[in-house]
Amino acid sequence: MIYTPSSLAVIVFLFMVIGTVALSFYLGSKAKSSAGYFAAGGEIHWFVNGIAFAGDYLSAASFLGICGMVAFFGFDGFLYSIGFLAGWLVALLIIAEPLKRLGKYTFADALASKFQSSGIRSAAGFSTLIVSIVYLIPQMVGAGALVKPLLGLQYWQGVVLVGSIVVIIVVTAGMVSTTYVQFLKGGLLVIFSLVLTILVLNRGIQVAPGGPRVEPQRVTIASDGTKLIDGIPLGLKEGQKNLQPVGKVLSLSEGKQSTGPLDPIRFLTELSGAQVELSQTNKSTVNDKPVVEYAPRVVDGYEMMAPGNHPTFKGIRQQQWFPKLDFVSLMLALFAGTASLPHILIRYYTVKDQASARKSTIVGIAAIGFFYLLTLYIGFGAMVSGSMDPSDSNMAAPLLAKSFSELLFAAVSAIAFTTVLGTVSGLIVAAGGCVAHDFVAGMLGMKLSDHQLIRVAKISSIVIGALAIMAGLAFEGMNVTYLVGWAFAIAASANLPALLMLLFYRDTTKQGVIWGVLVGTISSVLWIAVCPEMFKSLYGLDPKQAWVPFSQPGIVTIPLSFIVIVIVSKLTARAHRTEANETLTS
Amino acid sequence: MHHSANITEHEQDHVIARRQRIGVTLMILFTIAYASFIGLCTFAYDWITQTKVAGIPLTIAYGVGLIVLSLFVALLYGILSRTRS
Repeated sequence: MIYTPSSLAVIVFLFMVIGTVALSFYLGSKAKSSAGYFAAGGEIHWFVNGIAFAGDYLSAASFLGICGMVAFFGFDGFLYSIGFLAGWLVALLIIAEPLKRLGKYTFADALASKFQSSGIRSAAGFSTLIVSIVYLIPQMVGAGALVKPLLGLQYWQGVVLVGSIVVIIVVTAGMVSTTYVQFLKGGLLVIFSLVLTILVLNRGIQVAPGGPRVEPQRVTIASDGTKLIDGIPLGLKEGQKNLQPVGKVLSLSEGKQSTGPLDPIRFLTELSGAQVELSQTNKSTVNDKPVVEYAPRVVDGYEMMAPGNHPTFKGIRQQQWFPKLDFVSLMLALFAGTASLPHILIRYYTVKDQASARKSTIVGIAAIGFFYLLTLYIGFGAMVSGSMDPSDSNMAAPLLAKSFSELLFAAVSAIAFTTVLGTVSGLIVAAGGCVAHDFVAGMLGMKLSDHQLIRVAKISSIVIGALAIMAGLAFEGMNVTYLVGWAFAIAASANLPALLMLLFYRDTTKQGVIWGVLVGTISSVLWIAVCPEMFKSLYGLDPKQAWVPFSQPGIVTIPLSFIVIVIVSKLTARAHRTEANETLTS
Repeated sequence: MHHSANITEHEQDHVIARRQRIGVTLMILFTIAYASFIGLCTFAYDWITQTKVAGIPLTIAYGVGLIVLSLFVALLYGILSRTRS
């Protein structure tokens, strides 16, 4: 679908980007020390940090992905909202305060604090890098996909643009600028989502004129490479054709034509009695050329409030065990992954004490939870707006905004872009800090001055930014929500078992922690590499040939990491006691 | 001086341990609520999708309820941690 280029969108977008970079340079002139660069000197106010948590966490997958998924597949998108938020309780109730008490700059600080082990530091550094890079991929893919329709740029230009801006933000001022970018982005995202929700409820639901569409919309490629819609060149000029939007309400309960303004509960009850026309994408190949068909799909509102409409979740409607396990495994990864994400964990070091860590997490949960409630209304509002692009579910929220006003579209699009900036900058700060502290200073034992540490982190940030750009280009077209689910699964398998065992299992040894982190990381990455989704989407092979029966590894690899920690700790308990005694006597 | 430092440290350990107990208890309760939701969606699909609460499908009501419960548990933990310390 082609969107009319909006100069307003470009102006608002440029204003946000220039403002963000200017803020970074201003804050960069203030942060000179290593503590300032890596942890904002521990001087961020807990409320600012709490909203920055929201800005850090609510990525493109949360905003564009979940709203789009709710708009096209109903309740399934909301399952992500529930899982993502539930994970924050693990962070608040179990992780936040011990992490702040035990660490200084990186997640590895806390993990290595008990044993002062460079081995633990290296293993935790390894898992931090892997998780950060895997989580960067969907962010960059989302950035490329977003910039394409909004600014008329090519996919690769979007990826390079985001990568470059983020590296500038991180290199200029580190955690200070990252925090304020995330604070602004988190605050704006929640405010504008609330505005969108109020507008959706105020508009209510109306039956669209005209009956249901009968014929599918067919996209083919001509011999000269031109994209054709039902045989007519794609475009907005005369003699050209654009894809028609979907999301028409065909009927409401009791024969109503319009509901008028609704409250949040009445909106859901009215929607559950409505019939809506969406689209179903069918891909095929004719004469070695790809053909995509967007066939009309009429759904009951009530059916859209049940899980299992999206391909990722369809397994829960089946009788077989493996598809059900795949679903349970994903929900487990979302639950356990949040408190294991490196860019989230390092935010606990930017506040002054444990009480601030606790209070900022509560503010973060309030902002994130409120936002996730709004995603339900934004998604369902888009579903009945008659403005959705059948070829790109990620555009549901911006196009819903466009159905109200051009200015709102411009603002929501610019905020969506800054969601990517905020999350990517957090990930690059975490990864850069990990290279400087855990590998160069920790594993290699190099004694570096404050200035040298910052320089190492900055160079690492540039390299990681370049890697993220390359990964974003390589994974074009990959399912963003799947990639995010995998990042959560790797983080949950690698980091959470080690953290929990260190806190609650007295007999944990340093070897147990090292092996737990390594086995959790490697087993989850290997599982993903040979899973059905990877066979289908990346290798282009029959998913039935995959080496493992389902695609989400968490349900296997998280318990595996726990088991490894217990077994290795038991096996090395004697050596550990001897070492401890020797340390005491010496 | 050394004696009073020990007492402060002991008190701190005591407060930390008590806060950890509160955290773990609330975590267990929330995990039960979350796991029940996943269990119902997976193994009692027909029941959870066909049951209504105030005209809304139970799936939506339970999902929204979990988000509201998260906010409540977070606030409760904040209050209990503050008063206990």
